[in-house]
Amino acid sequence: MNAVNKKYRSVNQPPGLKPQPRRSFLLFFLICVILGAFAAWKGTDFLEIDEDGNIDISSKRQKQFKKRLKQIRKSEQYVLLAEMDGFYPCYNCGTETLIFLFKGEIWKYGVTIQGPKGRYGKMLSGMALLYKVEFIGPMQDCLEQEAIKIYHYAKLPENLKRDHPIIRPPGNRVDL
Amino acid sequence: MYAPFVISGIVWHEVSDKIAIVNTNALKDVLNEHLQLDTYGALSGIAFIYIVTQPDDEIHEECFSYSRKNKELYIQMRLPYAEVRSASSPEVLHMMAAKYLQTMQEWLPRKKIPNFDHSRFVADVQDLFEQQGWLQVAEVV
Repeated sequence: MNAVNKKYRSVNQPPGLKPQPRRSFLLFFLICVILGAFAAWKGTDFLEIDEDGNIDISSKRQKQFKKRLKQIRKSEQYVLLAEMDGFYPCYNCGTETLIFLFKGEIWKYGVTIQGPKGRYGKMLSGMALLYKVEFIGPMQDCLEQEAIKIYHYAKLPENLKRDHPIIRPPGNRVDL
Repeated sequence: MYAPFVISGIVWHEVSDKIAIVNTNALKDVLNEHLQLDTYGALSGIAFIYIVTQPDDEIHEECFSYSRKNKELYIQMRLPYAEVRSASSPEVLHMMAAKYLQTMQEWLPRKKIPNFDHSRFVADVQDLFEQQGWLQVAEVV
């Protein structure tokens, strides 16, 4: 008897008091779909589909690409010079970690496509160095200029006058 | 920073001798000798970097940034390339002094650095540069 009552209890209940699991499930499902779609869109925002259905790089990425190409085509080769007499870090002095430079002497040659604020801001303000731009042009040409200067540094008078000349400028860890 | 007042440059090689090292050091030495930065409040260093590169340079940009962590200002400001190129070295020093003062006058009130008396600092910089005779014929650039 009790079993029969249980079986038909829900049918006999007034409609206003019915629990509504289906509605909350639908709401939950809808939220998941929206979040999923958003995540999928965020994950592939580097691609766009045009009106004809063709897939292409997104306009945001196109802009980044053009900026990057421009930077590579117009890089610069610079030299960092000591602004005052004093000791500066040396990566080519054997067991010594510092080298004495007179003002105006070379500490490092480099190539960059971005300004020194990003890479050298702290160096310019922390180590008494002057950033002198020596050459502007395509990255390949800048690298060539840098290589010429790094390799020929060894025979510069400021290096030859030392008791122990160094192979490359004190701030250049490697040739390139 | 290696000193409370740091002056340096990002310069195209053809005009580098007019900015550095004589003029940057002159400005730096005078500021460090005559002003004590910590008396103006909680700022331990100001680095001012002059950009003097060709007009189509897009690599180097002006900036005025404050590091709350280190209590330091890092400033990059441009001087007009053509004017520097045609000016003599002493004239360039005057341009540099004027730019320094103008930048401080314009930017410090906007930056609102906590516990820093920018009005007194700017007034003292102006007095100091006037005493040196650096603001007499300098054009505001």
